[in-house]
Amino acid sequence: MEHYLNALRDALKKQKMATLEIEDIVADHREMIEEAIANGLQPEAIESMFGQVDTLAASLASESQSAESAKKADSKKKQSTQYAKTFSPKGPYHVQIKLTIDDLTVVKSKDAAIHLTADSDWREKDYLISFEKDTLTLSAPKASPSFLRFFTGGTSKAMHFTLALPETPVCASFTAETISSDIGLLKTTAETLKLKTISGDIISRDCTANALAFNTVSGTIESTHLEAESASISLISGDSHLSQLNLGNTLSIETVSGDLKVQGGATKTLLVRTVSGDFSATDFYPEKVSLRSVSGDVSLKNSRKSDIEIVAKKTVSGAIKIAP
Amino acid sequence: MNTQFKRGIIELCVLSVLADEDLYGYAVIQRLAEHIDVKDNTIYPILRRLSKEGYFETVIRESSEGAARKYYQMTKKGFAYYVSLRDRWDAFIGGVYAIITQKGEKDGTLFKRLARRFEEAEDGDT
Repeated sequence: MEHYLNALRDALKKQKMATLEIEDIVADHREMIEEAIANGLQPEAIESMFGQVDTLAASLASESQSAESAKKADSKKKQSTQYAKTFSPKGPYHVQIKLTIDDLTVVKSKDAAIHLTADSDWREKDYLISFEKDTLTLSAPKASPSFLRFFTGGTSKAMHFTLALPETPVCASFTAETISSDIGLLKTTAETLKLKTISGDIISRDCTANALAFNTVSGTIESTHLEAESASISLISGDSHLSQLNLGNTLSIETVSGDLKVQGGATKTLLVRTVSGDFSATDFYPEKVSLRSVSGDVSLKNSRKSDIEIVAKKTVSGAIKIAP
Repeated sequence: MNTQFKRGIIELCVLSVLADEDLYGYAVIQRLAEHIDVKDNTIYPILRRLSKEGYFETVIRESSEGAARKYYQMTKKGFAYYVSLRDRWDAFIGGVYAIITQKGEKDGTLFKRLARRFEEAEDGDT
């Protein structure tokens, strides 16, 4: 084994590899050969199993070079295709987004400016981006290429946009409509916050709004720590999970067949309309409830008792339970 | 087999076994050797390059048999790369099979037809 390892070390030196790298490769081979011998490999068969040293060294040198060039190409690609733009709103601003397949993440800006970045192959001609009359508009596509690509199964990759919004000045309204794009909101604050997707998922963490509306057909909605005066959650078939939901006024929920779970929080009024989807809330404290279902089950299960005024409670074949 | 072609296949195999579980170098070789001829050890150089490219991280773990081993662990970047490579591979190999099996026709039928054609050509020559 030592003979083989020494020969390998010499062969790697001939390839002009760095000493540290040579020793690392030799150590790896020592480990592998010891393991092979422990598993019954005869010492004279080392070369046939691990390769002739010159061939192995040449192959290691060429793989090492290709790793280096891949790294360079990668960083070059990142530099040339990344998009970043900053807009400076002077007062309350609006955001209007229309996307098809590209994903969007909204985060909190560290300064008073709006920052928009894209982290995949940037195709500027496919997007319309403007900031006029206090309104940031991002839409894809300008005409419809992206949209068509979506249906024709084109090869273009979906992009990922990141939008950083300042808390001051305030975001007066944020609306986003997408087809399959996923939307993620992280610490987003807006007076009006409206999201609508067909099959994209909506994920929100630590968001605050005066009026909020999340709407999806088959995507899922997942939200934690949401504060709003009133919120409307509407889904057709996607399932949803909302936790720590605190509303000053009304939470309105409409679902056709998607199930919806609420965990923790409070609201003044809770309105639930479901066809066949189940609605269940735990440790969620409404003052007034109006629950209507066709065949879906509606349940409200809290660990402590609170006064709940039942405004309406109707179901055709579902079960409605309020406890305690 | 063409070296570049084999290199690509081994890369996919290495990624596949490590997508399944963390393994040490010799175990990767053994896992591949169960199914394909790996005598000239093209695996280690590829494993090393993929690690350098950030597709695997290495961690030293004690083994019950004594010496500590260097385990290769797939990273998130590695997983994303594996998924995209698999997609391309599945589409490619699906296409290749469709071509070489002539839309499902058995090799035997193809060979018979070609053999007959060559026989007819030879008959024509004589």
